[in-house]
Amino acid sequence: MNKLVKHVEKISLWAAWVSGTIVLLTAVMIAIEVVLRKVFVVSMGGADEISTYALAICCSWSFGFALFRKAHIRIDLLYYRFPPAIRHSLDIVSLLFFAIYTLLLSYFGFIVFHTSWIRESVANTPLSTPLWIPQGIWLLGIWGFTLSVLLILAGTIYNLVHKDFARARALSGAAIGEKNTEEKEK
Amino acid sequence: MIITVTMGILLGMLLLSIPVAATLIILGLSIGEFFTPYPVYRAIGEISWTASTDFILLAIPLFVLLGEILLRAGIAARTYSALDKWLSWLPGGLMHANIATSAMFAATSGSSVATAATITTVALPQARKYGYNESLFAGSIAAGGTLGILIPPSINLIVYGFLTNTSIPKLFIAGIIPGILLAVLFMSCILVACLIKPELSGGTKQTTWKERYASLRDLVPVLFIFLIVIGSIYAGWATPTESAALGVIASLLLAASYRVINLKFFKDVMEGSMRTTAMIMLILVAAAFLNFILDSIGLGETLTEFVTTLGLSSFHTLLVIIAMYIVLGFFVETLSLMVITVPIVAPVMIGLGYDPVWFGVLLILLVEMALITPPVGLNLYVVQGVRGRGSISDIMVGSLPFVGMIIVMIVIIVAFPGLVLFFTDYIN
Repeated sequence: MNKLVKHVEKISLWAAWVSGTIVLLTAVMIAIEVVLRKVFVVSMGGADEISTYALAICCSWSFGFALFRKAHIRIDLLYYRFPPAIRHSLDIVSLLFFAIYTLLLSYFGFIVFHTSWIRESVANTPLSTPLWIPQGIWLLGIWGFTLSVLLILAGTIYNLVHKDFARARALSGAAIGEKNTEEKEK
Repeated sequence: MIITVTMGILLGMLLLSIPVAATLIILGLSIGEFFTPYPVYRAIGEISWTASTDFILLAIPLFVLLGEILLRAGIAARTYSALDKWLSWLPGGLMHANIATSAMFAATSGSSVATAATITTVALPQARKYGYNESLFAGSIAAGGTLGILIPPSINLIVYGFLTNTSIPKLFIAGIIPGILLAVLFMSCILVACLIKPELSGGTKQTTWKERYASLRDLVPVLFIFLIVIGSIYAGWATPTESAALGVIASLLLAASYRVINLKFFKDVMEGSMRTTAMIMLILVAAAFLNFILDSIGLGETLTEFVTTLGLSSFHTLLVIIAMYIVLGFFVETLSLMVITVPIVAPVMIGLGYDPVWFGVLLILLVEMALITPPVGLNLYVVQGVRGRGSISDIMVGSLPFVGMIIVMIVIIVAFPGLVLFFTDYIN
């Protein structure tokens, strides 16, 4: 189980690198566009449209990575005052809520993609991008995020059942202020 | 009724440490379930797609990336050592460099957290060496870090502009004067404190004028980026998003000139910026869904009516709103505070005749305060995290004088709105 989680974490890291590279390439593209427009009074056309797809894609591809790195903000004001049993339950409840969200988004995101696919919808722009392409890539990221949520949830429960509390905490405990409480506990 | 239930669920879930993005969605789903007969949850796919393809929001990953590149290229550290040479003869010494570096860095990137973390890393060893009062010293870093969201470019101002359809170039330019004034207030506060109690400050080191002049070249990179980002917006060459892209390219060139670019540099930059981007964007996408639900139950109108029935003057309403933000700011993390309250509060305030740009700046000041007020104040934790010893309450105490200065600043812009709106009239 823990091996599987590690593997998926590795994949999410790769996805984040790819996303970062996409953002960087988008910056290059926009910069070229601005210079062309200003200096040569021509436009590549469509740079802004493509870059908005890049935004959606790189975000959905990084959500899972941010979850593994505990970047999604949780307010730990009371969290560290609770006994460990309650903390673990809160971790699980948090993941369950995330699961509701991502499963819903996976399904209705698929509907968005599917509708564009059947109706052969194209963007209302000079590029006339077939929308299913960027929406499909975006949707893959959302599915990846959903998978990460479910896996971390499963991993946490698995480790709790095996009484490996340190691992469970490493997987899903709240992040900010961790050092701080460790100190207090000493 | 709706308002009580909404606020109850919201605060309850947040206090139980449910992730903010999940809280917003679950809140939206439950309101949709209980207060409308329609299956509004079905819109979640379409709304999430639309929100994630907003060209304005593209500025967020770009500014985050810009900040990461500058930090990892060591530009913050160089700026700090240069400003240290210029400012450390003042009573309060290095603490002035903390504020000035934060302010300058704020002018190139939109993130306060990364700036605070970097300055702590660079400055704290020196503070220990020269025997500064660590509480005030750490407080000045935490407070200085908050300047990042007021001095343009600012991610929080972009978020405000996105939520209220306010012009981002106007918001950016409106942040400049209050931002500089606040930095000056922070520094005067340090100066006065150290004149009254010299033991707060530490030993000084001698700097020759030659060293000072030599250090000026380390300030050039930051000014260069600032000119590109802000200059391109106000010269009318680029939108905020495009200016961010230009800034990214310029910062890469700088990093290349310092010869720090290698594969590890790229990996670190990518990881750092995607981590922050994903965190911010997930909250914004979730907030877009919640706002759709709130719109569909007409919460805005209910609230505006409610405020009208209270029969308060617009000035009293303003005071109530400010008080509300101060109290919420103790407990709620700042980005969440903005995405939850702005869509509801801003229309009410604008309806009462307040300028949207001015209210945006006021709101950012309140958010800055929230960043350094306990128990939930992100910058306090960041500084403490890097500090790694002692108690966080030292930093909370050390930040208090600066909280006072932010309040002074709020009073100033309420009394003299022209300070905020001085330049905005020239922009169109």
